[in-house]
Amino acid sequence: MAYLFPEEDRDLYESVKEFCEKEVKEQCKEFDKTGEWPSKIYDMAMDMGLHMMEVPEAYGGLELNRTTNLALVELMAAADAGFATSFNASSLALNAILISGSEELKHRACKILEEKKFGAFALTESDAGSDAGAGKTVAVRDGDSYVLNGRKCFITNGGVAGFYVVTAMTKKGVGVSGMSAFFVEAGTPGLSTGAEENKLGIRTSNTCDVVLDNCRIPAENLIGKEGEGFKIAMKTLDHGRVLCACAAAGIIQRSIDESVAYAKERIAFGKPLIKNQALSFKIADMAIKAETSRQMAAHCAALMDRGMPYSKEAAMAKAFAADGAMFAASEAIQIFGGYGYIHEYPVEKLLRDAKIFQIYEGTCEICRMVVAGAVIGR
Amino acid sequence: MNYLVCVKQVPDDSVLVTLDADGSPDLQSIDLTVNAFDTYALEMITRVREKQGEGEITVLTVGGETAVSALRSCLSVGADKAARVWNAACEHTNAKAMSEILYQTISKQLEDGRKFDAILCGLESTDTMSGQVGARLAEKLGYALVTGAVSMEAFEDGFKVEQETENGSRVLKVERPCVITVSKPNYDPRYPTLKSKMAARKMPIEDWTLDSYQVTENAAARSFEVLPQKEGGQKIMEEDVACSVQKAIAIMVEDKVL
Ligand SMILES: Cc1cc2nc3c(=O)[nH]c(=O)nc-3n(C[C@H](O)[C@H](O)[C@H](O)COP(=O)(O)OP(=O)(O)OC[C@H]3O[C@@H](n4cnc5c(N)ncnc54)[C@H](O)[C@@H]3O)c2cc1C
Repeated sequence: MAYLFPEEDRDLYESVKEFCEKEVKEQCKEFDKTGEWPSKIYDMAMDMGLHMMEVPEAYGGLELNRTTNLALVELMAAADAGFATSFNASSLALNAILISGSEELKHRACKILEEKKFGAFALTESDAGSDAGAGKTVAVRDGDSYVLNGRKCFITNGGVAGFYVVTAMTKKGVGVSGMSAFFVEAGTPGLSTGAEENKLGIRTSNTCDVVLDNCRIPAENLIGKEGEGFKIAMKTLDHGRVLCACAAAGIIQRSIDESVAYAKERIAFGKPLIKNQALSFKIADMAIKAETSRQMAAHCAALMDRGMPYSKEAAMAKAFAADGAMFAASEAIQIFGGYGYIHEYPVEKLLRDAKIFQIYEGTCEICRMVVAGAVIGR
Repeated sequence: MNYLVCVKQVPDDSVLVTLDADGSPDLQSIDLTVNAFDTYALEMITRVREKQGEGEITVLTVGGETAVSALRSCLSVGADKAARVWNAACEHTNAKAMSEILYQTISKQLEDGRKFDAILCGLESTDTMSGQVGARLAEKLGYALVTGAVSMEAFEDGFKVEQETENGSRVLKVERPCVITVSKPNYDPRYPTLKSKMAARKMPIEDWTLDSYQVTENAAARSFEVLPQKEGGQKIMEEDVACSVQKAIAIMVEDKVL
């Protein structure tokens, strides 16, 4: 496996694996059906500290080795991609603050996480998805505060978060350089959430609108400086894309595990399915994609550790892994045949879950635009 | 209060064991884990300690270098201290010899001024399943013994222990010091937190090994046999449904299920 994490972290890997096997994998099937928020599972996961993996030690967190963190994200997603998504989205919000927030904001955000709450990262609006700079949410300075107005959509953890990182325009007519990012605590008057979206996949995660109606926040809740919002959001997404790649690798690995187990048992033409090279090659292709995704993500982690740029590599990893997850989940269904198409069997969910990885945190097209831009240059 | 929990590292019992060429169990490829009943014992006493708000839990194992990971695992889910015992005398022991090693080790700790209000053992280990060690240890120490505990709480100058019986349970009061063997309670042991796992790595492991042990061997395993896996259940195929139901009930009555 490409994640060469320190050997001493093996115990963490084993514990999280056991937890995901025993408490997440099967249980989430039911919540996938109902679309209900599996609060008990999240409570247990937070008791274990899965929300504190990236939080620096100085702010009460675990500050895990980056590669260990990636390996654990994959395990979580292999059990249930929605489960992993909730933590990844929280990590987006945290990282926006770690990247540019003041010391005080870092403490406040980490304190909220420590209280076993999620963070949410609110960039997208109904008319500003891929074109995030087209956002219409505004923030107006008023004495010691900012007043926010606008409506964010498709926000993961929108309805369950303890704090939000919200982008809003502080200056008109200057495009993305007019965007700023703000820290908004849940419960701030003027902040409310819309109805929960009924989704194709990752149904154990919460997605909804976040509405800002004359939402007044202290001026010190500005993250970084005015006009830095877009830059902060893009840096945050670079980081998030690496976690996305690992989560997608988790779906690929799960597709492999389910397919191998099934194809060894299922007999056709007098022999187990797995004995057909046409099918074993599908497994090989899935494995190549899983391993490549991991290596790409691990490479990003190495770049991060050295303080080197990794924007292009993160976009590559995310696009490759997301496409790989769609491929693998679809091939898993193929190996299962008709059974693969039925809810009772475990693989159709993988396809539904995989799709989101081609969409959120920069669609595969947007990731390719990032890669192309970096490769082609001006 | 001071508590001691005796734990054993065993092969993962969810894996099917096969015999190797010389007819003994092939355990090489099977992961090692803490005996399930010992994890129940540790969880039970950790809950007592949490409820009382005080107390120190030490885990003790007799085992080789690999057993360190079993102790670290215990340190991440409630134990405060850990000790290991290992020398030549500890190899190839059976229940009797093991209880002697534990007895001699614990006696030395008592001589040195330590005090254990309760010593907990799993009801049995999932590998050899003799279920003798806890009882033999209590006998040698001259301590009161309660077997098959499914819950316990501190009570007056001892403990109230709920003991599993054939058709239910009974509650016993036992004075300190005592030995309690623990069965499966109606809860599962807690998961470690990532933080407690990381902290456990740095905790010291004491060496309680004595210079020599006096052990007497008793029944030793001579040969092993792996039974073919049971076919799922019993087939009942009477003439009609009513007869099949009658037969099923008759079997269940005979087997004392009903
Ligand atoms: C379940 C879920 C969770 C989400 N969580 C969050 C969250 O936590 N925070 C948040 O801010 N957002 C979140 N999003 C929003 C998500 O990031 C956006 O949906 C995504 O960025 C795409 O934006 P859009 O939906 O507006 O699509 P559009 O931008 O309208 O894109 C439509 C299609 O056109 C393609 N396209 C657009 N522009 C180009 C171009 N220039 N060249 C080629 N192709 C192009 C896109 O790739 C896409 O295929 C979430 C979305 C979902 C569904």
